[in-house]
Amino acid sequence: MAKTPPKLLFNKNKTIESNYNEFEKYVKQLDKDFGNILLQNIDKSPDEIREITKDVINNFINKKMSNE
Amino acid sequence: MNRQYIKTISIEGFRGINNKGNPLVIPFNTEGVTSIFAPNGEGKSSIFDSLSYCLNDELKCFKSLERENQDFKTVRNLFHEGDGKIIIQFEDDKFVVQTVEFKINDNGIKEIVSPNKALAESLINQLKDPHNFLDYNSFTEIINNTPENAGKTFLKLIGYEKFSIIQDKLGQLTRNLERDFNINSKKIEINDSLDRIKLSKETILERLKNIGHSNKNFKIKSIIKTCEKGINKIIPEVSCENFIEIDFDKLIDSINSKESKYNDIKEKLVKKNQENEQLLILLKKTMLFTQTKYKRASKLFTNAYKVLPDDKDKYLGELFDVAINTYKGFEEIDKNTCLLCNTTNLGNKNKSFAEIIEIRINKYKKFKEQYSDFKNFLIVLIDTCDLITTENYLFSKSKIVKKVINEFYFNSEVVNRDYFNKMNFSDLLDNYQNLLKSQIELLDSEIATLKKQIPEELLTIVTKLSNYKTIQTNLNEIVEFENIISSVKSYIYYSERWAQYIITVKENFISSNNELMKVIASEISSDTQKFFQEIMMTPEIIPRIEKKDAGQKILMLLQNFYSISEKKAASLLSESYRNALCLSIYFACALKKKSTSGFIILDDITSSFDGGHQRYLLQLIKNKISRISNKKGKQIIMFTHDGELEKSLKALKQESSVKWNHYKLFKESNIKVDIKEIDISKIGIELKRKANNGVLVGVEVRKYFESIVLEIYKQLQIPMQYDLANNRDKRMLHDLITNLRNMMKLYRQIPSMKLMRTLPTDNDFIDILIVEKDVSNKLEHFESSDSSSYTPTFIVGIINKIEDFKNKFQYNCTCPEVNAGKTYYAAVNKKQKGCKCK
Repeated sequence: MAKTPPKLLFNKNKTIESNYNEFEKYVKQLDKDFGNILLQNIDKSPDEIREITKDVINNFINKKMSNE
Repeated sequence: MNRQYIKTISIEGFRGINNKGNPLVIPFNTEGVTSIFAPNGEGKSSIFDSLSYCLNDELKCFKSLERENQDFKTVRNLFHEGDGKIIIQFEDDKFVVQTVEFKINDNGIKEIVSPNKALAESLINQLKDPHNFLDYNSFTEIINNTPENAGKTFLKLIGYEKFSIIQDKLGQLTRNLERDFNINSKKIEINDSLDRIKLSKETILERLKNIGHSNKNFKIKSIIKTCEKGINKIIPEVSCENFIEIDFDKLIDSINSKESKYNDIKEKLVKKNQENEQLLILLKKTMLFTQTKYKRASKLFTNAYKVLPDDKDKYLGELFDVAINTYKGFEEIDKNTCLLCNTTNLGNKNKSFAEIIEIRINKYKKFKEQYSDFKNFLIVLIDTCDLITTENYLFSKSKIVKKVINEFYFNSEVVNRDYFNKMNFSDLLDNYQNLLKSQIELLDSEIATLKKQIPEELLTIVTKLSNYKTIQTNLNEIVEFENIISSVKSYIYYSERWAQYIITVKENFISSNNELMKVIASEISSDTQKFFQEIMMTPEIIPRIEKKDAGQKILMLLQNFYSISEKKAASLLSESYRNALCLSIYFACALKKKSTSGFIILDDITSSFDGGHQRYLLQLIKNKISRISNKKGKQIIMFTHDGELEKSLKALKQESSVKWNHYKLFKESNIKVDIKEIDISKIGIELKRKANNGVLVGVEVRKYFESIVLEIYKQLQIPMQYDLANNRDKRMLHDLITNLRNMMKLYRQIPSMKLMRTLPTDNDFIDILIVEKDVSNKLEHFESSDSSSYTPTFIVGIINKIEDFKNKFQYNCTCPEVNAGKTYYAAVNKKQKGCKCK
């Protein structure tokens, strides 16, 4: 998580695409690793996203353990 | 991309439109309104569907049908030869024209066949918009729904459907995070590993003490150094560079081999010592199975069963859960029919059977989740304490632990509530621990006896080496468990990081989205008020749209309702007022949203309004919604079957001149069902010849029969309903004859008409319907199984009856001066007024 959490602000005068871009920017700023996972899988079902996250967490751990 | 408008459409061989080589072409007014009037059955819906199918992948004709009744083979006109064809021309703000051509195959599947397919597909994709098409059912959706669903419809209308989906997903992702990632059970795993490490440390310190070293602080490196020095003192020649890798068994063997005369005793002693070691470890491990942990397992078990107080709920919940998964739910079955035994009319006044079952299944699922927590906890507990090994070692007759493992771990079913309670683990463990202790005492005395038989020095070395070996084993265990703890801690760290992350994303997204929706809702609300006033002209009623903080709820309120204020609109307003409100919201959203699609296609949206309000609505469309007076307005294409409304449409066309196109669809136009020209005069003779020669002609007889009936329809110019003409299953013939019979009945009731004597009577129709039954059900059916028992005489008899029926109709009036629609009357009675036949 970013030390100073960013703020997410949508603007009615912006297009839907621009507001979505704001969301993309925000989730990446908050946590680059998890932000990318969330955005890459945003069209998938919550169950699929959950499983993908678990896999990614296991990869993080394996990487960390092998470095140690 | 610039805004796109529909310039023309050309339709051939689609739904009710059959006109090979002579497509129906409709030019639309891109700068204003195009209104199309047609009575029922004249092809209005076919035109609407051709646009809707090509641009939004939807067919209005299938909307209210169950999936199994949606026969896509009827999308292409059944009487049309070859593929159906739809060509749509678009024109943008800068008058650049693009053409997209669609092909509709036999199975009703559409495909873009334009020369530049990729470009055409991209254009069609960009044009997809929830505002494109509006019919009565669509616009009432927003007010007939719950506030949550109304909110979702609202977000869809203003183009923020994606945000609504994201909000739902984030909500689901943050629910049960703890359970999803098993954080609590991972924490238990860490505690268990710590217990094991503690045990190993105690063993190491105890062994160090046995061999004369006292370490107060447990430091692995210093312990290893102490051990290495100690071993070198006993056996100087042994290299102790890496304590962890010393093979103690080999070392002990080599020492023992030097004193071979004591081999037997030493061997026994080693075995007894090993056994003793093992028992001591087991005893310590069983000590880890504390009352507190056991109480926790019992509590988890009891909590799970609290969800399902009745065993029947568990049984039925499981059964229906399986049934729902097997039959893919109630989607294919009546909601009040049991999936298991097909009993119908279940359910009660308040809830359908499906809803009752859903409650039961949800209860069962909750139970299973909690039961799974208990199961995991118990298995980890048994595993940590190595109870299976203890049980095996003691040759316990009861084998309770093994049974529990089998029941809980390998069995996917849930065990009954009494089973776990009957286990009585506490007594079992006391028993195991006492057995282990008595075994250890026995071994101790045996070891002491054996030791007396061996020289003390040799014994000391071997005992010391055994102690070093135990230290080595336990050090390895400590490293192993420390690795496990490190990995589990990382898992908890990342899981909690994700949990915190996704909760923060959800909270921020919801709050930002809420703020945005509140502002948009307020703007839409203001436009809605204006549009509503223009349709209903009732200043005493002022609607308001409000975005609630919670969830995605949108409320439709009445800011003013005469002297009352802030009431919910849905129940207070009459149907026409509700519809006016929905239309106002829809138009306000459509105008607000920035979209590539510059058109709105409306189908019979005025039916709930009286003539006056219809005119107000048309004025609103003309002045505010369409491009006629509003530069940011939309191109409007509207369909209606309302004859009264058509007068208003004509008047508006005159007012708006070049910015309004109006069309009226006639039977005389090329939108009609075309019956194939068939020369049927010789078919009967040929069929009789074939039947006499033993050829199976069931299918052909039915087709012949169909041709005859369709010919009668054609000759008499009897109006044929669209669905009748397109229904090609076996009911078609029956329905056509029944319809014909009803028409004849109708005409017989007109007193001024004298029917020709030769025309079939009602009894003739009853006879021919029996023949139809023979042809459709028996003759064709039996022949298809290659076991026809019908004689040629019977088949020839049937063909004769069909031809007799045909001959009862005489088409002797061909007067050219009689209007097409009246030919039938003239055919029935030559003396009909208006007919000039001699």
